[in-house]
Amino acid sequence: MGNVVVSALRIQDLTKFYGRQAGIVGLDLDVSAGEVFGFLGPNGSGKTTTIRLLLGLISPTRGRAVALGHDVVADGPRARALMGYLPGDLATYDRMRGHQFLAYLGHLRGGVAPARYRELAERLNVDLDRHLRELSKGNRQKIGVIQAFMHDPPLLVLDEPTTGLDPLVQEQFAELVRETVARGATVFLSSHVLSEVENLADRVGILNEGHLLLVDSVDGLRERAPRRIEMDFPATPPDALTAADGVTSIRTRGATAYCLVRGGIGPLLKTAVDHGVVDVHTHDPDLEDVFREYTAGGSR
Amino acid sequence: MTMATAPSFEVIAPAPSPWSQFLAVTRHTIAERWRSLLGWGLALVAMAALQLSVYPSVAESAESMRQFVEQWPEAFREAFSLDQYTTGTGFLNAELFSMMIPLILIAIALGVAAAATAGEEERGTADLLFSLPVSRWLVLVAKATAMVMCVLAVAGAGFLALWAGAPTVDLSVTVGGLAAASLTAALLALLFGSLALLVGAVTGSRAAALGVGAVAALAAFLLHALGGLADWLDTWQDLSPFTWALSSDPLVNGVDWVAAGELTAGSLVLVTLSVIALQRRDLSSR
Repeated sequence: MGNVVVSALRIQDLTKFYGRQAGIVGLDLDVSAGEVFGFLGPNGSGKTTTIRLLLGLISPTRGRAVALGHDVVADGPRARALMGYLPGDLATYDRMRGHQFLAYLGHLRGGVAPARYRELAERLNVDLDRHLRELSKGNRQKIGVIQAFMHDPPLLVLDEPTTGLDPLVQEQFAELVRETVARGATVFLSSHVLSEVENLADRVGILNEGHLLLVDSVDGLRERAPRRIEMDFPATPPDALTAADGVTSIRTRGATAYCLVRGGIGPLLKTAVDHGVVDVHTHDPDLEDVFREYTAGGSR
Repeated sequence: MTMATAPSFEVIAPAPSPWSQFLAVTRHTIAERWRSLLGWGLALVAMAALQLSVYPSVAESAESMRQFVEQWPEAFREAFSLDQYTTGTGFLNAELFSMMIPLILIAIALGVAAAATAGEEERGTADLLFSLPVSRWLVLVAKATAMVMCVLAVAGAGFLALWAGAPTVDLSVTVGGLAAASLTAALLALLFGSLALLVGAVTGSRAAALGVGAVAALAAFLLHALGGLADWLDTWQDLSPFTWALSSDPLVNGVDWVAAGELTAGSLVLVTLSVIALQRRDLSSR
């Protein structure tokens, strides 16, 4: 018997119109329990609309979403009890001190042990005794990270969470996400840059102008990505390279051929070897290229 | 491969107690208003002390004061209870309970109401608050409760100041009368606060909540104060909540329970409408 795959988040035909303007249209998506799903799209593509729908902050025009068995509209508070939410620019009650703020949110969640958020604060190196208005944007965002993780939610909904965090803290944040997933949590992570999610996500969906264009594993996306290969020949590179399977374009300069290949590079290498290739340099596929290809003509 | 421990489809959600959530939101709302509340409370107490301090000279010059007051139009004398100006209760009505105390309590109620959900939406904290496992109705009811407590606290401070101060200047007024007048003023203020709460819940705009609440209160006050000046306004005067609250002179006659009931019922209807409005609305994002 194989693994039983269970949806932690099941989204069906989720649609939101603001007047005539579409926020998100007919979104169908299943995120499995224990998965990190990267939700990618340029600004204004519907990421935040989707996330605010999941949290019940706005109500759908049609369609539904079920989080860990709880309909986010009909059973909102219970669905949200299982979620941790972090927006990119967290607004806080700035007259409160960090620990008061976290205690208040913890209270509304039914109680969170102070030891838990103090431990996270120590780890992220943020002072909980300061008033929130005195904190830098980055430190306030750390408070946001703490409130999203402190109750060990089985589903994390993160909307461009690392905006405003410096690279070191971004790495700590990624570590926190990995630990949480190792514990069995599911993560729904939005971003407008692929590099932010590719190291964390199992699968990514690419969203543009309210439509989900593509869902694939990060590896699958790499397959789709054109790979750059440079090959040195004893003399002018042979024309036969152009005919090899998967080659999308070739430029030559002197004895070197610069190729773009989609899918496997086997056929090209075989042809190259047959023509006495001297040296081969390959480069990692650039996922940003795939992302750009799918979202070209977007609002960016 | 052995079967993986499949997570069950429905995860049982922790269910925070609504009562403790209600207390937390109420307490937090009051804490956020604490400074402004202290300021208003001190202002009210200072004003009460100032008015009490001039009462002895008013009482002494009763006769000349009576002649002075008679020059005023009758409607004005009625609106501000000027005819009884030299009696203790008349003095308090004219100087405090017919305008200043209601207006201060209204300002407090409007402040809390506008900050309630509209203020949280404008600051962007509403997204965070409502991303928690709380119901919108619970938050709104907690905020309304905080408004009631803020208004009652300042009304209570005014009551205590007058109750303690009146005997020191030989101003004769009953404890029951002071309590009744303070309570009635608080109920009047809460009606306009509830209106602001509703406007805030419908629009998500702090300015709209404050503006509509303040304009309604001002209109109601003017209608009450000037209603007696013109015959055509006379019939409209009864529409003013100020008239409901003040016409029976609670300082002398105690709480008019019909008026208190009207004010309370009006507030409850407005709060209920706020709950319905907020429940259905898309929260605005910053």
